[in-house]
Amino acid sequence: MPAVRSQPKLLSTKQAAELLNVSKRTILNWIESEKIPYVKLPGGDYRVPLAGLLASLSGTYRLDEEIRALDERYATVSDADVQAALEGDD
Amino acid sequence: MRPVVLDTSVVLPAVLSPRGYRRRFLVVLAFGALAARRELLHQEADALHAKSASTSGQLGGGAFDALAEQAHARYARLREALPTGCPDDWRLVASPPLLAEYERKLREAGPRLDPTLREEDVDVVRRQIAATCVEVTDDFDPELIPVYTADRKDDPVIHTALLADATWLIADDTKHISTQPEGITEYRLPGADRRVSAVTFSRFLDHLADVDLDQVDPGLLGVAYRSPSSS
Repeated sequence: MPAVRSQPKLLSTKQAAELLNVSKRTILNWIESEKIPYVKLPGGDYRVPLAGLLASLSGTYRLDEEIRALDERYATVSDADVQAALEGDD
Repeated sequence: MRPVVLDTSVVLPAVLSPRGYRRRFLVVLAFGALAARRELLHQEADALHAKSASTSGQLGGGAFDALAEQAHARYARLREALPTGCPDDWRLVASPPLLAEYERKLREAGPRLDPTLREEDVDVVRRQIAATCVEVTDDFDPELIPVYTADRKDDPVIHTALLADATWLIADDTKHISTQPEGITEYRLPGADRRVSAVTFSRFLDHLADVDLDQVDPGLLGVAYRSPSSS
């Protein structure tokens, strides 16, 4: 059984899309606009490195703005509030 | 390096409760991600070059050096803002099924917290968690993994922690985690010499001796992802 990482992981565009829950078209757009690292294989498929993809999220999205907006909306929410909402799901 | 896997009951409060202790630990995990990323990016650059050379493939996209420099700049900025000696070796690990479970749970339970929760908010939360991950295990079919608990919905997080060889699985869903003092629940991967210790967040704090979360500003999560060029 493999541990976390023995060697860098290269993802297909389908795997990258599923990981981030975006469309494959979005991944291809990022590739075409050179926003994420990739290697284009001779058959036309792409491979995207995992850490490069995750690191690129800070460039493909404004993560800091997104978290600020969430924090403003949920400024008064406590851990217990979230857990109470989750417990209703069990 | 200390890999850790977070259950939904810990990671969603960490993202959605901006002043809580789980958020403070998420800041420590973001610090760890930035520390790890520079080295990982260099390893990946080598792997991508090797793949290109072996397949006559064409390299492209964002320059690894630039991404590594940005990660380092963010790391340095965060280090200045965190308490002296804050550890940078905690590593958040997830798996594709676990990320999907975070999202499913948020979609189902989120409206009880916030009736105005939108689909794009779910995407934002998933991105925040993914960006804090250092590693994502190989994908697996949740229906085909070993049975660890009486509730199959709870098994993917345990399986992820075992695949990740995690130091800790932290969960506040106490159905399968001991709440006794010093309580640690151990799960084992059948057929392999691998085990993981599962604890509640409050019990985990007893083992987090090298940082005082009271001294960690929970608002620093945004700093971890702010452009190095912005003030």
